[in-house]
Amino acid sequence: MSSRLAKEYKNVAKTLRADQSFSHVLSLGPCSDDNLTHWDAQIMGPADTCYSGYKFTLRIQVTDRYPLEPPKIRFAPFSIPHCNIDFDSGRICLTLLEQEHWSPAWDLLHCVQAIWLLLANPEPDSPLDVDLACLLRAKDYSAHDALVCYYLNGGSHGSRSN
Amino acid sequence: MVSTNEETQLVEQLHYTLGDLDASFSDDLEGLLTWLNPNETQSNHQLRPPILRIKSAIKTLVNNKNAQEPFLDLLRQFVVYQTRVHFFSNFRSLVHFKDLQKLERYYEFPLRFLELFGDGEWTEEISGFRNYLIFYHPVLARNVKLRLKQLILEDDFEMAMKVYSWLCSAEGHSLTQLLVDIILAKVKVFASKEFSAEFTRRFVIMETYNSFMASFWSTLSTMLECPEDNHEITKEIYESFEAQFIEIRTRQAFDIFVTEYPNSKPTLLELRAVLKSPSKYTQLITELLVQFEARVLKPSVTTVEILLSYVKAIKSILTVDISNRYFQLLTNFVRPYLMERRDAVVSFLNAMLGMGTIEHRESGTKVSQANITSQLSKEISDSYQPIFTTTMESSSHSQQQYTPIRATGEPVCSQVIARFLEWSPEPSDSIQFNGDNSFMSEGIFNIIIELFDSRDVIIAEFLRLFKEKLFNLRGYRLETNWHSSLKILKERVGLNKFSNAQDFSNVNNIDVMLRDIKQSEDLCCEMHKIPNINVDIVPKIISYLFWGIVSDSESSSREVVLPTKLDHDMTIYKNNYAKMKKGRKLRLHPAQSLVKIRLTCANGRTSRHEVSMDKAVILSCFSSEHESKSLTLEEVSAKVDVEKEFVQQVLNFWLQASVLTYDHESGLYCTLDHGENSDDVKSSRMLGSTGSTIHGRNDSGAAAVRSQQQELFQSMERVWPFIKGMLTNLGSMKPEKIHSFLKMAVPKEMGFTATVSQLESFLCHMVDENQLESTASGAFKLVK
Amino acid sequence: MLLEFEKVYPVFSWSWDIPGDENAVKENGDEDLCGICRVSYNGTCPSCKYPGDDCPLVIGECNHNFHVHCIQQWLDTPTAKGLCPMCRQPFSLKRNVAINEFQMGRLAKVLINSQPATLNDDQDMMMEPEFVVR
Repeated sequence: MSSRLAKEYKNVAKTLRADQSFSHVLSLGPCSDDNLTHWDAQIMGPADTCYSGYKFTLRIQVTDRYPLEPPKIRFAPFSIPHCNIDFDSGRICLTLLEQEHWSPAWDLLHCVQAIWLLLANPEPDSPLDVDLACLLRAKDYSAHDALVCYYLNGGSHGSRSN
Repeated sequence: MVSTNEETQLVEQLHYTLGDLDASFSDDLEGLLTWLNPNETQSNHQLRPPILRIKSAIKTLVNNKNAQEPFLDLLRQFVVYQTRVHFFSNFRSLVHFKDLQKLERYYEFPLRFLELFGDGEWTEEISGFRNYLIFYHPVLARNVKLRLKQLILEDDFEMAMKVYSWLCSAEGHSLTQLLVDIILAKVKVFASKEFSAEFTRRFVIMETYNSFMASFWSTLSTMLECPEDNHEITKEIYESFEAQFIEIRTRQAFDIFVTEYPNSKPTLLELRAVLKSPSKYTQLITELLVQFEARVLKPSVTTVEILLSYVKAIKSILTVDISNRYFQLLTNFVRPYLMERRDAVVSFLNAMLGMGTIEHRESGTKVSQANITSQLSKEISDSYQPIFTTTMESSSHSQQQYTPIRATGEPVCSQVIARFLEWSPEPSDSIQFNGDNSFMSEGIFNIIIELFDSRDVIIAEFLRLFKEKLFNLRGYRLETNWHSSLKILKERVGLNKFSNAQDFSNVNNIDVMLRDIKQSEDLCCEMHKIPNINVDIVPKIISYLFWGIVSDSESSSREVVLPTKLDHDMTIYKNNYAKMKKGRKLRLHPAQSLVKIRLTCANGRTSRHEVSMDKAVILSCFSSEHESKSLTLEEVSAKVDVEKEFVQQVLNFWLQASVLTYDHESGLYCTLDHGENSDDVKSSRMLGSTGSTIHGRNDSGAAAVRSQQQELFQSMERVWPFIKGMLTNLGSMKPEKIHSFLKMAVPKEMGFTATVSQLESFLCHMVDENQLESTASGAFKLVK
Repeated sequence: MLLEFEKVYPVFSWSWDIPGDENAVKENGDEDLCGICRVSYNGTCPSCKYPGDDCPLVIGECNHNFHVHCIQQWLDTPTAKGLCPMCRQPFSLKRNVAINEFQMGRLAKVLINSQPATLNDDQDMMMEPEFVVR
C-alpha cells in the first residue's frame, strides 16, 4: 500500500503548510525517502497543559497491511510522562490505535492529531502510568502537574520507581 | 707559386737522382712536374691529355723499365705532397658531393697517364682524404648524407649507390643504420601518398607494403648488402608502415569516425588490428575529441547533427576499441554540451521513433534537418539487435567500471584525464573478440540514454510524444517503431526492478493507455454495429487519470458548444457507452479530438482540413449553406460558449490558413468564400477597405502606423526560422544577442536591416502570438 | 461556406457514474478518493493495474464509495465487523444503482460473513468532530 503512503506524504506536507490548525504538528514524514514504512513526527505540547512549550517526538511504523491495520506509534522512550503513556517505552494507550477500533478512513495525520489531543485529555481509566492515573482519579491536579513537570525537566526514572 | 722548403728539396732530389741524365732531361722533368702539380692551376694538365713533349718525358722518365726506383719514389712523394698541399688549402670550399667528385677526378686525372702508383696506394691516399672530410668537414658530411637520402627518395639508385659507396669508404665500414633510416623515411613518403583520404579499403597496410617491396626491395637489399629475406629489416619496414598508418589516420580521425562513417568501416577495422599500445589509442581518441569539439560542439550545429555525429563516433569507437573503454570518454565529453540543448531529448526520441520526416510538424524544420533526423534514426535502429541480446550482463559490468563522472566540481576534462591515468591496460591477449556483433554489446541505445543525465527526462518526454501520437491516431494501430521503442524503454526501466516509483507508474500509464486504445477499438466495433449510427466517428475512450489529463484543467476539457448534428452524434455514442459499460459515463475532450472537415465555398471550391475538434467547431459557426457569414469575436465566443482569448487564438489560426478573413474597421471575421488564390484574398480586402474609407478617415493615422508595423513584421517573418532555430539550440537569448546573430546568419540576399528595437517589438509580437515567451531577465525563449 | 465533418476521431474520458454526483462541485479541485486507498474513484486500487472493468467502484447504502477490492479487503478483516470505514454504519451496497449491479454477488458473501456490531462508546468517541481532519 505504499502508494497510499506516498499520497499521504504529499498531502501531509501540503496540509501542514496550508492549515494553521495543525501548527502544533511541527513535522510529519518518512525518515527516509526510500522507505515509507518508518515515519517521524514532532509535536508541540498543547497550550494550557503542563506539556505546553515542550517538543515531543513520535516514532511511527507502518505495516504492509496499512491502512487495513493501524500504524504502530510510540513516543521516544523516556520522553513523556502521561497516564496513558508508558514512560520507559513511549507506548501509547489509545483506542484509535488498536486494531479493534481502527478504520482505514484514518490516516497518519489523524493519528498524530488524536495523540496530541490525548495529551490534553488524559484518560485515567485505562492507565499505563499508575501513579499519574491515581493522582488524576483523586483529582489532585496540582500534584499531577508537578510530577509531570518534574519528569519533563529531567527527573530521573530511577528516583521515580523507588 | 711560392715554393716551400720541402718542395724545393724534393725537386732538387729529383734532379739529383736523375744523375747524368739530368742535364739532358732537366727541362722535361720540370715540365712533367708542373703538369702533374695540382697546385699549378694555370699550367698543369687541366684535365687534358699530355702534349707530346710531356708524353715523351713520361715515357722516358716514368713509364720505362729503366726508370729508377729512387726517382719514382721521389716522384710519388712529390705528387702526394702536392696533392695534399692542394687538398688542405682547398677542402674548405667543398660543399656538395659533386665538388668532391670533381676534386677526386682532378687528382686522379694525370695519374692515368703514369705508371706511378700501385693498385692500393692511391686509393689509400684518397680514402685518407675522404676520411678526413667526414670527420673535419661536418657540413660536407651532412650534405653528402642528405644527398644520399634525396637520391633514394627520388628513386635514383645508380647515383645513390655512388654516394653510398663513397660514404662507406670514407667511414671505413658499411653504413647499414643510415641506409635503413633513409629507407624508413622513404616508407614515410610512400605511405603518405598511398594512405590518402580513402577509407573504403581494408588491408591497406599490407597492400602498400607489398607494392613498396615489389618496387624497391631488390635494389635496396643490394645496397644494404643483405639477403632479400632479411626479416629484421623487412619487419622494421612493415612496422614503419603500420606506424605511418596510425599517424595519418589519427590526423584524419574525425573524417574516419564521423564524416565517412559507415563507409569508413574497413579503415576502422584495420585500425583496430594495428592499434596495440594504449598510448596510440589515447592519441587517436584525443585527436578525435579535439576535432569533434572544433567541428561539432558549436552553436551553429543543430542538436540533431550533434547527436548524429555522436552516434557515429560512438559506433566507430566501439568498432576500433574492443575493450569498450574509450566511448565513455566521448560520452563524458559531449554530455555537458548536450545538456545545454533543450531539444536534445526530443531530437533523440524523434529519431528513435522515426518521426524525422512524417511527424515533424514544425514549420521551421527544413528538409535537410529531417534528412539528418532520418539518418540518425537509421543509425540508432541499426543497433537495436545487440541491445536485446546482451543488455543485462554488459551494462551491469560497465556500470561497475564507470561510475559516471559528476558533481566533484572539477572540470570534466581533467577528470577524464585522471581516469586515464589510473587505468592500466589489459594484456591484449586477454581481450577476446568473437564475431562482428559482440563488440557492440553495450548497445548504442543504452549509451545514448547514458548521455542524458536522467532516464526520467527521456521517459517523461517519451510519454508526452506517445500521448500526442495516440491522440492523433486515425485508427487504433501503432506503427512498429513505436512498439519497439516502447519495448526498449520498458526493458530499460525493467532493469531497475521498479526501484523508482515514478518509473513504475509511467510504465503502468503506458500500459493503461495502450489498453484503453485496444478497448476503444473493441467498443468502436460493437458500436458501429448499431443501426443508423454514424460510422464516420471513431472514438477513443481513455482513462483520463493515466493520460495526464486533469479532469478540471482548462485546456484539456474545455467545453465547446457543438453544432447540433455533431452534438447529436456524440450523445448517441455517450449513451451507447453507458449502456455497454454499466455505471460509467463519458465526457468529450474537444481539444484532444481530431476531425477531418471539408469546406465548400459558395463558388464550389472545396478544401479539406485536419484539425482538433475545438478549432473545427469554432469555424463551424461560420458554416452556412449559401452566403458567407460574418461574425465578431464576441459573437463567436458566445455561440460556442468559450472564453474570448481562446476563440481569438483559433480565429487567428483560420486567418493564417486563409479560410477566414478579418476586417479591421468592422471587427468582423468572414469566410473567404470567393477566394480562389491569394490575389483574390488581397483584392477582397482592398474592396473592404475602400468601401469603408468614409467612416474610417480619422482612423488613418493609426492605420498608417499599423500598416508600417505590419510591413516590418512581414519582413521579420522571413528571419523567423533563423530565430527559431537559434532558440531551439540555445534555449533563451536576449534581443541584442539575437540581433547580432541574425546580422551574421541571415544571407545577404534576404537582407536583415532591422534595428534592435524593431527586432524587440517583433519578438514581443511573437510573444503575443504565443510563439515565444519572455523570461524575467529580458530574454526570449520558445514556447514549449 | 459550408463546413462538413467527414471523419471524427473524438477523445472521450470515462468516469464512474455516481448518481447524485453530476453537479457536485468538487472542493479545491480535488478528485473524489476511495477512503481506503486514497486513490481516485477513477483510478485503481493499489493491487490493480488497469482501471475500469478490472477494478470497479461500489457505492454503499451510506453513500460512501470504495474500490471493490479495497472494501472487500477491509470487510475481510475480522475487526471490520462489517462496518463502513468512514461512518461505522453496517456496510451494504446501494440498490438499483448501475455501478453496483455486477458487484452484488461478489460482495454478498463478505457481507454475510462479517458480523454487524452495534456501536459502542469508543466508536462514538472517535466520531467526535475533533478527530476528523478536514
